[in-house]
Amino acid sequence: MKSESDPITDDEWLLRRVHYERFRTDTIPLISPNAFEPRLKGRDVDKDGISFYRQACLASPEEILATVPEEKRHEFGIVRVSVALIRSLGFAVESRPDSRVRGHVTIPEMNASDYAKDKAQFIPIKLRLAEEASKETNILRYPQNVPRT
Amino acid sequence: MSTIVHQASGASAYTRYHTSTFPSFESCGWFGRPDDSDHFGKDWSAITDELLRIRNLQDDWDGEGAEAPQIDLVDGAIALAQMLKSKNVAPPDRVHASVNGTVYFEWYSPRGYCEIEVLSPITAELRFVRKGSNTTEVVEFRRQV
Repeated sequence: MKSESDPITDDEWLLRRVHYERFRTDTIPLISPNAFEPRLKGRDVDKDGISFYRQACLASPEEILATVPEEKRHEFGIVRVSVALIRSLGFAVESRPDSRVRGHVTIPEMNASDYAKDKAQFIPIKLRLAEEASKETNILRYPQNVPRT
Repeated sequence: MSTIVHQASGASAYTRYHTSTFPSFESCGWFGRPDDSDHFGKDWSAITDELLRIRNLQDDWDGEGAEAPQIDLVDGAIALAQMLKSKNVAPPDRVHASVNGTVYFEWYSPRGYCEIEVLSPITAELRFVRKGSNTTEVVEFRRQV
């Protein structure tokens, strides 16, 4: 297991929580591009960029559910994308330690301020991330016991 | 990445903002048709049910602090769904509440990806990315009330 202070390398995987609203088994791609939408309002605005967690810093992917109330955890799936993909899109991956979960990082270019100015330019990027996250090998956990339409 | 913005005008419950030569909602072909095999099995009643569920969401519905969409915004989304159905547009592949208090409709087809974000009770923005393109085409719509 890597330390949070270790350099972030291209061969690492970054994990992201995806609520079932954006994670459906009856649609292709399974993961909505909007699973990678920065938060512009609410409790945790993505002012420093959207959050991921370094898999190499975790003993289990489920550790990243620690920031979600226990009664809501079953509503979340967990997907991963590679550091290499993020960097190939021209984005950085910055370590931003969070006392609740190890390995917290952000993509500073996908921040709330820039997203609010021009949502449309982010769509091809969100599509690429969703395509990668929807691969069977990159879905580490499915939401459990949630309503489907 | 680049963006092309079309300001829209036209008839029906949702109209484009200004006079434009941009094609009408139903003729642009971004959404597909109900008889497209891509959309087989989807139906508008399920979408309406989902919107009614979204209408009942409360703040922090996702456990991550997201604000719930305002009821009048969801009512605008329901009006949009009714208009699209009346225009014989294929139902979206997915409809969901966003983390920003808005509502998304999403379509996937061999032509590309199309989404409509309902931004307020009377405004919506359609965004389309053609397959293999890095350009997003945008059409802004305003609801007649």
